[in-house]
Amino acid sequence: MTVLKTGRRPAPSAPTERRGGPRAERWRARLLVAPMSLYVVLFFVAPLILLLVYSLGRIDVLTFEVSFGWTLDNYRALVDGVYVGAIVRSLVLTVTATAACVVIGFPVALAISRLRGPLRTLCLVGVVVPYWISFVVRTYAWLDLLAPNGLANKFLTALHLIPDGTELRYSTFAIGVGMVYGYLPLMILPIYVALERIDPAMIEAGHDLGLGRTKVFWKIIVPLAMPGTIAGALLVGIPATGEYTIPAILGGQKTLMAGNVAADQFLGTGNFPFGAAIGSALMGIMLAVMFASRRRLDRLEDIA
Amino acid sequence: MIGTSTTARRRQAAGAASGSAALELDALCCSFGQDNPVVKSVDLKIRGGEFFSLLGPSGCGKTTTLRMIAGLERATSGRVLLDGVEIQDAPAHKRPVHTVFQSYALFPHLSVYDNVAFGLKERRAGAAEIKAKVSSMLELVELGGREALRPRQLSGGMQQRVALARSLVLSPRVLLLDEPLGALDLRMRRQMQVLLKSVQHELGITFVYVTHDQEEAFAMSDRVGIMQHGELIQVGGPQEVYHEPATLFAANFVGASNTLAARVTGSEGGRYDVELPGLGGARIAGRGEVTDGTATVILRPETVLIEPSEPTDFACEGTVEDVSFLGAQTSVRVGLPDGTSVKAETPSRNLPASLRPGETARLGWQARDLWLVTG
Amino acid sequence: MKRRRPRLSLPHVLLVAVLVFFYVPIGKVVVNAFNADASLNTWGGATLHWFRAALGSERVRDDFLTSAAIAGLSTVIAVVLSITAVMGAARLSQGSRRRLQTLTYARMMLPEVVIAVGLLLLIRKLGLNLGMWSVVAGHVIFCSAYATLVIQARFATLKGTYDEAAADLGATPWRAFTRVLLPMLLPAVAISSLLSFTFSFDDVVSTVFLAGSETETLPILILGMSRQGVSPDVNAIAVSFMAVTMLALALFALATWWRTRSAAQGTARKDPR
Repeated sequence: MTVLKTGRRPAPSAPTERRGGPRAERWRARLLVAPMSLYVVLFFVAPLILLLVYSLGRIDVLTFEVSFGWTLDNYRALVDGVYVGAIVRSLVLTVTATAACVVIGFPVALAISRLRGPLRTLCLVGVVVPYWISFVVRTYAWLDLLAPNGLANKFLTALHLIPDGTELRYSTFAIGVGMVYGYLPLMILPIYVALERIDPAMIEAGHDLGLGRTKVFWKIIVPLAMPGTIAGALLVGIPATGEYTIPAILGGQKTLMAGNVAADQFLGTGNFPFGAAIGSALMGIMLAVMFASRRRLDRLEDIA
Repeated sequence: MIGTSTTARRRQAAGAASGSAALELDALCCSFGQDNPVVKSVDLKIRGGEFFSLLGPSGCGKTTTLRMIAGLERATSGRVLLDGVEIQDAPAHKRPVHTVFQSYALFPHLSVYDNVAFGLKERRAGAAEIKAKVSSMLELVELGGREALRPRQLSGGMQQRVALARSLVLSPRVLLLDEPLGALDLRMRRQMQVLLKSVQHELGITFVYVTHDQEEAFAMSDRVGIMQHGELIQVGGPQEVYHEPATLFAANFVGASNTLAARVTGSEGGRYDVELPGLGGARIAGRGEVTDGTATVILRPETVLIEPSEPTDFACEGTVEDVSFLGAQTSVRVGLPDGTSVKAETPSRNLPASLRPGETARLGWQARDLWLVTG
Repeated sequence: MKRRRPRLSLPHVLLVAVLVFFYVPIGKVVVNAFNADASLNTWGGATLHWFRAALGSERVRDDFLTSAAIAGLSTVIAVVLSITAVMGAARLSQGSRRRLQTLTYARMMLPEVVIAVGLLLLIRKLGLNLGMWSVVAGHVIFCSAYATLVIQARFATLKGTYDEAAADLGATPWRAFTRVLLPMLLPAVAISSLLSFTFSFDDVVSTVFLAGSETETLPILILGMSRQGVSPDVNAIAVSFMAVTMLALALFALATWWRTRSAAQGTARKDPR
């Protein structure tokens, strides 16, 4: 029995039958997602919106009552108020610390990727494990080392970089060290993963075409590892801007970062609108950075 | 491999009487989104107990069609009927139709025994009944004794057989197989083909088999359905599809062919009067409506005779362009004076030893080996 | 293939330096926790005195229990929310899935201080009191983000294969979940539970804002004490604190190693055919 298909059957008209089944399934799915969605809307989205609203409000210094007008005063206070120093310091520190992490992290990731066998696993684990050890404890550990008679001091004195007995704690430098210490594992891992993915054939091709080791590094390895590097920079840079613990422990009373200023406003001074403005500003910067890097990452993904 | 003395016992174990359902697809369509029709109105009737293959290139819609029968894909419109009963609205887990997947999809956290028993446990079957059925089925697929192993401890071929057993043990009315042998090497594939064919024959279950491998489909199937771009182009037995293809695409998909342009001067009752430029005319068989006096004529390479000793309906002479020794066969390409070339394939031992590129050679073929297509 | 002799290059030197850089500070804290010399200027002999004092302190014990309770609650809530969300999202449209994914990434990417501050404002606005519950609420936000990521990644490898096979064999969606998907998701659930627990246990920022005056956790205690500089008590508390995290990690690593080992043993008996 053969089915004769000589001409073309006319294409079926737009499907009119839509069965009721998928609708029931979709409601079941919505029910499953509901707990998480509700939770996120209530405890994440709503707070953020509230943050924005508060940042545009006013506070009465006497009664501590917040009135919701639409004013940019709080944001202006960020730019030319008392805390400008802290805000600027936050940004500068974050950028510097992130850059330092990239500069140190990249060669380390490269070194690990060149190791073989159990040694490679060991080093990888060795680099990642510190991240699991409590942030507070790790930061606290530096308090000891940066003391006038601490190891860091002795080390730098031996190199004749600083006079003996300098107090390294409670300074921008201390916070910087603490941040690099805290976030370096988070930078090394994505870069390592990106380097791992590079096809060794590409490097061989580079050598084959006459490029020396340095050129191969800069022209082949670095561009290919760029998405991973950017991912690492984001992973480090974004939480770093809002960093609270490290400046709280290593910064002392004088050196504050944005996170500490905000905490102060909420837990101490009570100037909620200003604190909210700091939070909103941080949020805005983060969204801008995320958005900008997203497009760059998408373009890079095509190359890699 | 399968002893006839145990046939009766196995039939009983698999409940073969329930396995020979007829399957009908009525105007079955599937679209993902408005502008993405994957299956365009497929009409098909598969007989109970038949080994039917859906054959076609990647993306032709054969897997989607299979999934619609299984219930894993919802049809946009159309009906699926099992022994006359509509099942297109039933969810997959309610259909008496089971699938052997391309990736086997064996549950890694369960043993071979538990994998095969999975469906039976869903039916709340008794422990004794389960044990009997599972053991019997594992014997059938020659995996007896391996009940306790985990899927990862099995080779590809063995995993394949567990997947088969897992579906068969449920006595499906129709068994669907989605390119199950794709991941196996040639030797294993051949073995599995033999096993599948014999199991199907023994149990009498309707098999619907999806593949892109024409040889595989021909070797195992009672009938074959060729799909292209979401449409079913031709349905028929392997011989019929091979010798009487419905379209040029079908002809080329199931085997190599020489395509010759022809002028059609008349047609009547499935026979056409054609004129092959420079070669002569004849009355040949074919299919389709000729609208503008031209058509394509197919000539299979194995029907082209090299240096024929007897007279042939068509004869020509040309220069040998290429001689490829393929083993049992040798393929010769001869260039004709008008610029076209004709491929001939012949058993290697029949080839004149002197044939070499550059030499002249005579070719000949009979009119009965020509077939006209219009699509 | 030619063998290149391993060169002692800058990257390798830096690797060693970084590893030293990582472990010396922690090592010093650990060592000093056993140091009998209270001033910590010299090594005064080993002692468990500080540990006894730390663990004997009721405040430390309470804080430890609080931290553990918060972490436990946060983990359970976060993981359950994530499992249901992942299972549900799989059956929704592409658009809905993308929206959920954006929310997940947003929770991980936004600085914790921003989220905590916002939540504080909301709680204040609603007139509620802060307490353990508000800390848990804050922790669940980021814990669930990580849990969703891990579980979603694992689920993506399961969906389309095993759930279909189960349905094909006659299992209803619920049975497919309990008999096939959930068992196969267990490793991911374990990992995300570990992640959630450690993040919550270690957390400082959210806790600072959301704990209120009545609730204190171990990290908050350490933070407060460290403001007075380094002291052996803090060292002991810090080491105990570290020990909990390391213990959890070690248990997990052990379980994974044991599981891989039994799997490898199984494969070793693989049939040759």
